[in-house]
Amino acid sequence: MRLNKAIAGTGVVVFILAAYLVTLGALKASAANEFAEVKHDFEEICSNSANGDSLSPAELQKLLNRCDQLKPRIEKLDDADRRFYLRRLKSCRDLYQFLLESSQGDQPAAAPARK
Amino acid sequence: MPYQARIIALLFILAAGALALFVAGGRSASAAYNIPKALPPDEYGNIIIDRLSTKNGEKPVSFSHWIHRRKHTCRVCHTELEFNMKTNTTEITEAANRQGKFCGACHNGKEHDGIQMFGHTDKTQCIKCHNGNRGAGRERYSKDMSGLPKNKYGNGVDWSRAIEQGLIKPQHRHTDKPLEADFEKTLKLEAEWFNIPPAVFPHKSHIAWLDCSNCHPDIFNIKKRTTKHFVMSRLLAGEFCGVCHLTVAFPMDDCKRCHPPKESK
Repeated sequence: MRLNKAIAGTGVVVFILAAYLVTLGALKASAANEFAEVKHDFEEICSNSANGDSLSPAELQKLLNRCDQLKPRIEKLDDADRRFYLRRLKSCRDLYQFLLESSQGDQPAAAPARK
Repeated sequence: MPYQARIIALLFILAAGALALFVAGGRSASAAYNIPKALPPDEYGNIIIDRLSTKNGEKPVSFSHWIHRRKHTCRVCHTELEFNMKTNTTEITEAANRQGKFCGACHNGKEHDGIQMFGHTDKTQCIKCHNGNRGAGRERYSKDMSGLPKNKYGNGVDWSRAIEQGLIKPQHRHTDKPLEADFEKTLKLEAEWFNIPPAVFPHKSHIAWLDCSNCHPDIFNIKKRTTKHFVMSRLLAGEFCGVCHLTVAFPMDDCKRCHPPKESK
């Protein structure tokens, strides 16, 4: 009787442990999957910074919206990834904003006065 | 003295005066600025990174731009790998390197473009970076630079011509999708001195190395009218062009690269 109880107890512990490991694995897989998706979207958005000048205002606005949508997802990544991707996201977002505003009619300032 | 002779003498004096003013003006323009003394060609662009190394009992890291720029453009590290332009401001850590970030994106002990890379994987290789020696790599300078177009300043190499002539083919992207950037707009900026030709800024030769976001909007922001501060003294203080053209790209004593004489335009 005691032996049966011990076996049953061990079974419960093994089950709980297995359930814990499965849950942990699933969570990790889900985090890895989320990271891969974030990275994919990030590269798709930010790789346009090399040819930003050829983008139309509508395309720039679309990229800006995508940057804003991506930011909260990056903020959920682990510390090192969050810092790394947020920095470049900011720099490419700033560029798109700059290009959009520049395309809306502002002219460069005058050259400095001569000596 | 006949009337014509007086006119000729007067014209001669005026011409001599103008020439003297031109020469003196040219001298004073370059002498007026405290252009930093250039490092030797094999050290120009070399930096010492010591944000955490010494604190953690390691020697600081030496990094040579001229070794790396033959293989990769500035964009790869300063855009994709997120290295700041200013030394010791990037939060590089050993852990981040081991995760494949910063230097660890290539220096991971694996093969990269057919070359076996060293990394944090092999303790015998630490000294390659953690040596605290600004002149590290000097022994390979002559061999690495041979066959590249010469320049009197900086690394002694005209890097822009080297890339234009296909003598080097640095990789422009690490993991980003390849996109063609083709922006040829050349800007002409009036010089502060009356006898100095305007500065010429070709976007084309810059995007061969950089990403638009490396400069815009943080360094150059026409929206915020920062161009009104675009004067030599500020460039020499490390602003605008001075972010790169004092440290890595050709230095500012190479006046004619930016202010080409009229006949050479």
